[in-house]
Amino acid sequence: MKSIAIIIKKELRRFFTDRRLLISVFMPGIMIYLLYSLIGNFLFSTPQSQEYKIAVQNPSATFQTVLDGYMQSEEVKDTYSLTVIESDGQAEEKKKELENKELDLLVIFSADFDEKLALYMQGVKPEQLPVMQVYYNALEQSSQSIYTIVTTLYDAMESSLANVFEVAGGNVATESDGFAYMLSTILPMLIMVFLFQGSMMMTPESIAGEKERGTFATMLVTPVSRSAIAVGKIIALSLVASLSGLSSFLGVIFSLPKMAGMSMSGLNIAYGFGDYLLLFANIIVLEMLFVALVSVISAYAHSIKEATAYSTVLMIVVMLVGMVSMVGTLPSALWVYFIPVFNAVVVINQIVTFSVSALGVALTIVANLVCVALLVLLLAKMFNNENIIFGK
Amino acid sequence: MEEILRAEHLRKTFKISAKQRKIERTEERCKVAVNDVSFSAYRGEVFGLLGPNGAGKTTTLRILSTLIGADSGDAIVCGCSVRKQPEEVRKHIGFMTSELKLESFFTPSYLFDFFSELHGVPKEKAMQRKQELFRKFGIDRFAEVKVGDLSTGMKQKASLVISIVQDPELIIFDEPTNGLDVLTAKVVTDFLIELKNMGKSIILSTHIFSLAEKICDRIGIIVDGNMIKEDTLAAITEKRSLEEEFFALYAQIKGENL
Ligand SMILES: Nc1ncnc2c1ncn2[C@@H]1O[C@H](COP(=O)(O)OP(=O)(O)OP(=O)(O)O)[C@@H](O)[C@H]1O
Ligand SMILES: [Mg+2]
Repeated sequence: MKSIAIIIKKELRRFFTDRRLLISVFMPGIMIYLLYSLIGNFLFSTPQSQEYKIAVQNPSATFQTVLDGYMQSEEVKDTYSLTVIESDGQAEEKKKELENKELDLLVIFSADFDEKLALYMQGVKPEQLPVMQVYYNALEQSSQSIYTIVTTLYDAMESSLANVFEVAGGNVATESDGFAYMLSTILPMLIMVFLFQGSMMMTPESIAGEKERGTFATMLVTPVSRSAIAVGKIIALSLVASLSGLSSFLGVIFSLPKMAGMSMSGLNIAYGFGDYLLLFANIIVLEMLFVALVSVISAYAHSIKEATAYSTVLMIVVMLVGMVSMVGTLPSALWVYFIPVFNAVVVINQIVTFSVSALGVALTIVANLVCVALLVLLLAKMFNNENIIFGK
Repeated sequence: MEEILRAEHLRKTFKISAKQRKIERTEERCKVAVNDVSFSAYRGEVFGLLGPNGAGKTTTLRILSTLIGADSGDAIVCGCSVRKQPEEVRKHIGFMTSELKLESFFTPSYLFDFFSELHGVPKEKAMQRKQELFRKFGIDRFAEVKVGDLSTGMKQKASLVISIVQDPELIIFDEPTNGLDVLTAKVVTDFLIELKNMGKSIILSTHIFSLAEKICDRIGIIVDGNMIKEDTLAAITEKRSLEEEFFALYAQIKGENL
């Protein structure tokens, strides 16, 4: 136990007294932040007040009241223009307009929305729930904000009425080349790459490097056990890499609001403190997993060069895994959370799209921690193997 | 005389990888580095392991210092078996070769502290030893300079001192003067003599006869992984010089004239 602490102390001293290493640790977060906030500011420079173009089919009597109530409140300077549509065919037309960004929002109430609601209030349970469909275009900023406003207002109303109607609908954007969209999809990959780079910053140098330079054997002739060296190294390297993970994390946190353009409109659907905590824990564990992986690779390699080369191959694999979220929707079945690394991509994606589940994050963390433990055991075994330490 | 080390029928073979077979142009899949080595070393004496390149000296010393394991045989080092109690053995020995390096990023002073801690030397005692050893070997002048910035001679001194932080009973040196210029080599030789005068037990390997003649009490000659002679220096050099004796033995074993 004591020797583990001695090893950790030495590794940390190595790190904290080297300015070059210190700077490179904090770079990723700064880069993420700069990248996203520059682009975010450029994309989402919203005008002071906004006029939303809204089309409604079968307008519910409550709709305008609710919306007016919001628009007339103190801090909101926005206005809206309302078109009422008569037929389903016209609704399809409006959807096209929405896609072409000529319209901001399309709301379709089921024909008897108000009556059913009224019946319900009198205690009669209707056979079918009244339905409200809301369509928007995620590629258009104004569309995104009015969607957020309307759904939030109705969500609030619905839960106060004890879930009497359904809010459905969704995004009509079909193109995926939108810049904002792209930004949100490359985020998991970016995090993956930055975290992996964090683990590669010191690990090959600390394990393959010590082996190569012959300083590792110097430690092996002391009474310290090989497992203590393995555990000590992984802990210290994880701590350092976690700093770079923390830096990436802060970068993401500070740039998320800019990305989602949430700073405008009186509404604020921020992430809760718990979400942040989950994201952070997830990032740290992922970082530990990367450190453990690169450690094993470095112990196997004969030189820093070799270790870096092998790790880079692994980084490309990790990057590809991170890219999965760019290609299509990610599965959310339970088994997904048991696949190391991929589970983290899923979770990060869920956090960005406001659909994170605590169970998923917890499973992800546990699965990845188990992997870390197994890799530490493997590393200790490798340190005990003379072919690994003295092999030619 | 008290035995401090006894090697019993040590044997070590290495698998030769396909790549290595090509480099060394050999068909053999297995290389016997140490065939059957037994010998004893005594407390307070310097034992010299003498042999040509590839004889198996380094391999033998690595087995004795528990860096690698023997295929068969065992050695009792300071009362502990290298096979069964490697960590215990390492508490009693200091091991030093030119292959074991100090991290160039740190200073000799810090590394001395670090290795003292790893060996479990109490802080007080470590401080005292550091002062004493650093002064004795002239390291105090560059104690706070990064190892990477030191000259080879200074580095060597620092390594030597750090290999004995825990005041080991037995010190094992593999080719202590290999690759050093005459001045640096003298630093090392003087260090060895100093240790010998302090009453330490030492085992060293070398192929430099003059060094062996100068400081060894006992000699073991190893050729092709076999100990072909083991005796006191005085007995071996009774009739002729160590070098001549070695050539005669070698010719006898190999059945050829040199
Ligand atoms: N890890 C290894 N894998 C394969 N062969 C090895 C390994 N280590 C040593 N050998 C072989 O074992 C033999 C003995 O090597 P060893 O290093 O013990 O010799 P030595 O007496 O120290 O020689 P030198 O004077 O060159 O240092 C050599 O033929 C060497 O090539
Ligand atoms: Mg050798």
